Amino acid sequence: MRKRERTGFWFVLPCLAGVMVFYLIPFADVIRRSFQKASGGGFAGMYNYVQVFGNRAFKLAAGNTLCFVAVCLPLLLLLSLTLALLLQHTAASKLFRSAYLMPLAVPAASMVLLWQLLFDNHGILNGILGQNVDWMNTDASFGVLVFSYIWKNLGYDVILWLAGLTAIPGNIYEAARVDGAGSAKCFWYITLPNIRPAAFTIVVLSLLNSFKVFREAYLVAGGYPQEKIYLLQHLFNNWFQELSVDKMAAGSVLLALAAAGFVLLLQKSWDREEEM
Amino acid sequence: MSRRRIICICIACILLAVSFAGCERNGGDKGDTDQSKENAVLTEGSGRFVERETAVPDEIDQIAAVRMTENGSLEVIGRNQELKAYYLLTSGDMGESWNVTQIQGLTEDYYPRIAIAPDGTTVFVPFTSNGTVNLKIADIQGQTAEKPVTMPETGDSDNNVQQAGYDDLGNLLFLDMNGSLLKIDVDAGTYSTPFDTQGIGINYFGIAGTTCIAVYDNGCYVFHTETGQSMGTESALTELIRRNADLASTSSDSGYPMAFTQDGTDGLVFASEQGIFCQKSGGNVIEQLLDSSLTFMGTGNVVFYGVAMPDAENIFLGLSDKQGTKLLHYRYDRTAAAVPDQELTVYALDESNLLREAVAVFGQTHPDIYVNLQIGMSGEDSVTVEDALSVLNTDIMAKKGPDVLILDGMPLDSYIEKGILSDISDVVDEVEKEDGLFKNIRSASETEGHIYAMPVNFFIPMAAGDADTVKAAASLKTFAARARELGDANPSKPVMPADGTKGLLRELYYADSARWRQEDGSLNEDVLTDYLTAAKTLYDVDQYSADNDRTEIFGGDGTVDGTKVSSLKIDDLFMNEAQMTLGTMGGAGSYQLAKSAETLSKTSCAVLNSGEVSSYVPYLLTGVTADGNVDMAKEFVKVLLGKEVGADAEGIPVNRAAFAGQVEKTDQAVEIDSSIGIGSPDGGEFYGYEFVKLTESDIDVFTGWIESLEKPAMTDRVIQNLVLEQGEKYLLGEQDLTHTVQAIRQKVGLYLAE
Repeated sequence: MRKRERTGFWFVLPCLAGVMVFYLIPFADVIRRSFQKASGGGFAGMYNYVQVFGNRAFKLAAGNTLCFVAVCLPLLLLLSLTLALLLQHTAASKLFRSAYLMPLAVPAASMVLLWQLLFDNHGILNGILGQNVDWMNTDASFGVLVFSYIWKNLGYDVILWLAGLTAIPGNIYEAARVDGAGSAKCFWYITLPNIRPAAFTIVVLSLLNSFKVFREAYLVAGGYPQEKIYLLQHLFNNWFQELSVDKMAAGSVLLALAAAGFVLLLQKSWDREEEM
Repeated sequence: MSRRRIICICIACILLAVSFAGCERNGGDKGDTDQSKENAVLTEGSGRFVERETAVPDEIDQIAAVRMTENGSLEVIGRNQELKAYYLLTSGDMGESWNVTQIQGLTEDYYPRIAIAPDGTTVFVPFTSNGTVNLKIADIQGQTAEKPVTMPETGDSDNNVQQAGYDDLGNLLFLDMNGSLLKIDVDAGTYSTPFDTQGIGINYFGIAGTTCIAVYDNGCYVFHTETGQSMGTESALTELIRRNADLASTSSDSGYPMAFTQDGTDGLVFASEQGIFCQKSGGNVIEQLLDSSLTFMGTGNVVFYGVAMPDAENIFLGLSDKQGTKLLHYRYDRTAAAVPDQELTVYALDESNLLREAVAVFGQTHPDIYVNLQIGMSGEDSVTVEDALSVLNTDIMAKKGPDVLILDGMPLDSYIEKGILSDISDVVDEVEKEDGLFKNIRSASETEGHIYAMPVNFFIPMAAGDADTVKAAASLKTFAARARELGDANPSKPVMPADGTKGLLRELYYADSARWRQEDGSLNEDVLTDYLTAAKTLYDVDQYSADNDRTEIFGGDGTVDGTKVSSLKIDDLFMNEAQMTLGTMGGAGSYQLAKSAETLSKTSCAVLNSGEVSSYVPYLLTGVTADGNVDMAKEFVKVLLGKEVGADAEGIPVNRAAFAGQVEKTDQAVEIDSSIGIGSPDGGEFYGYEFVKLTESDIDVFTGWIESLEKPAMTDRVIQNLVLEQGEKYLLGEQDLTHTVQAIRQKVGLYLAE
């Protein structure tokens, strides 16, 4: 190890130790437990994984979580990028940035009150529509969850996109315009390739943030919400309360594998495009 | 090494240390009992006071006053409630043997205030009549003399004595209805007011030697009893009272939240629900001599009649809890460890006085074991069932879980499936052999030949009303139909009592839920539909609107202040608040009360059946964790299931001997209280009825009901909450029946599928 690297190592050590103690070592224990029986700790082989794959609640929760990510992620990325592009050259861009970040400052508990105010039987939405529907107990609850996620994270992603956009040197655009390139061509050939590194970070962060929407869903509808918003986190939370450590461990390993696989695929495709 | 490198290493070390700083266990997470144990260690050093209940002669069933006399004997005034007689008990050997003298010449059946003087004479204080209270002064031979004393005027009504006490010089003090402290000149029949309380009303007082501690809402005054001068040592006690508002006033008729005496060195010794404490003479520091968590003092709803301290190593305490009065002897055992060497952890989600009683009884026979009683939802914080279970499960996974689990509201099936619980059939067999158990309850607790959880007692879902209503209690469907009939016949008269949506759903849930689970584990849709339909019929029969919803009487699982109570109220029937009612019935005492009320309401009651199975509501479902100290835990379970603990509790004990004891006590209850009076909720009318004795036939009927019970109601609180939550929406008209059934099935289905 070179001297410079050794110095760097000392600085990284505290953080690394924290990650090891609080994440990596516990996760190694989770992997171990996923092959053990809940009681007695005897070796269970793949039994827990078979149980999890055959579990109706797991299938439902995994399907809902996947569906939620598949709907929310592209929608959020598209909307936030569009807004960032519109804001990029707006005079009042700073004001808008702050405004878009406001939802992030709203605590989850307050959000829940807002949800109830809007979507309860006696809520504002029913008042407007003249109906008496408990929206959180219908299929519409999924839409409410998606809306909540987009509303909360849009501003954050806009800021990230804006950071990526402002990093693109202005002279590239000037040169392109001199050569006769229009706005569309500038976006396609200059903006998009240059914001690719930022896009990777934004996608990963948005994916991770999508898991946090559980807090609102749990607070407003409890551990057993309407089927459409029953997410993996609900399941893990409930498994923990029943002490189903075996299933919880196997489910966690599967989830970690899926998330890691997604991120690695994303990174690989990014790297490939970089090389091209 | 360069300076730069040193700085880098230092910064790295600091960051590393800071990153782990949060790993320290938060002291605030410790339960009350842990804290108490810590206090005990801090204050006691080596040796400790060990509790033992002192037996008093059979004639005595109530203790009224306790004191050490000048000649060094322990004196107790006891009462026989049935004979309405008072006795003077004296003991010169620390309560090992007693001289019993019946007090002669008492003209009243009941004397509300009694105090013992240092020379052994006793004053019996009756109610004041025409401004005068005719005291009966009994000497140590039991002969009485009457001494009239004029009381201060209080307008129209007579000024009764609220409390009486003697100091060590023989001065008699009274507290009157105005909250004034009076010094009584018995011979002259007059009073004086040497104590300046600055116009503040005194709630109660205590005397230790020549010190009078007068407690008011926000603190206390400390006076010299002879001179009436303030002694200026009230700050520590005042601080204590301000920290615990329960110490400031008394809700009992004759006992007090604190009792005071003096130790051999002029120090102040006092007892409260938290334990026994000592304040050294002239000092301002209060030292804890005894932590109440292991004793009868800590069982909840305790009031004190007196404390006596013959020497530094012995303390006698007269107290009353929900089970009656006791004389307790605390002896300092120098050989005992400051805190017991072994620890047994008992965990329950909800507070339970019965459980605390069991801890105290267990402590009597196992002084070497510290019972750490942990309550998941103490009510003092905002802990939910989910939070409590998460913490409990974390402990269980870390192999630091409790030894005994009270499984009420917990996922019992899941715990059995995971192997968390140990088979306790051997202890159950032992108890059955010794005292007998209700076989049907035992059988219903078996899982594939093993017993993993056994209730300590249980309640029966009941219905009451006229003969047709009782007949209709055979099923929920017929019961609901009967309600409609009554509603149609007399629309202006309420049919059901106002128990609220969840209250009604819960009572029906207890009666019906035992038949909901199908063989594949899912909920039976038809049965669930019937349940909701019956609930809706019963709710709608009085046409309450959503805006005028009835309030819930009982919160959660029907526990009030740590005591699980019966919810069947016959009173509603004779007060014309309802024509039919339903609710749970506890032990023989509840049945006797219902039978007595029936004489006025001209109704009767019967088990409310689902139509298929007859169910019961188990209480204190006790299990032993496989990873804990199984042997010690089973010892505790044996005490919990034993006849000593269950007999006095509300609820039907699973222990047959305890049940027999309960039935026996119903006879005594009639002797003590011959009639019951009750006012209507609006205060407009007053109803009274005789307390009836249960006949052999009544007892046979009650026992028959118990023996007919087949299955426990579902106790899993997750399912119960989901059903009640959705059911309430249906009752209030926010959701139709189909959607409600679907929502319950979907949510419960998810829970069961997990």
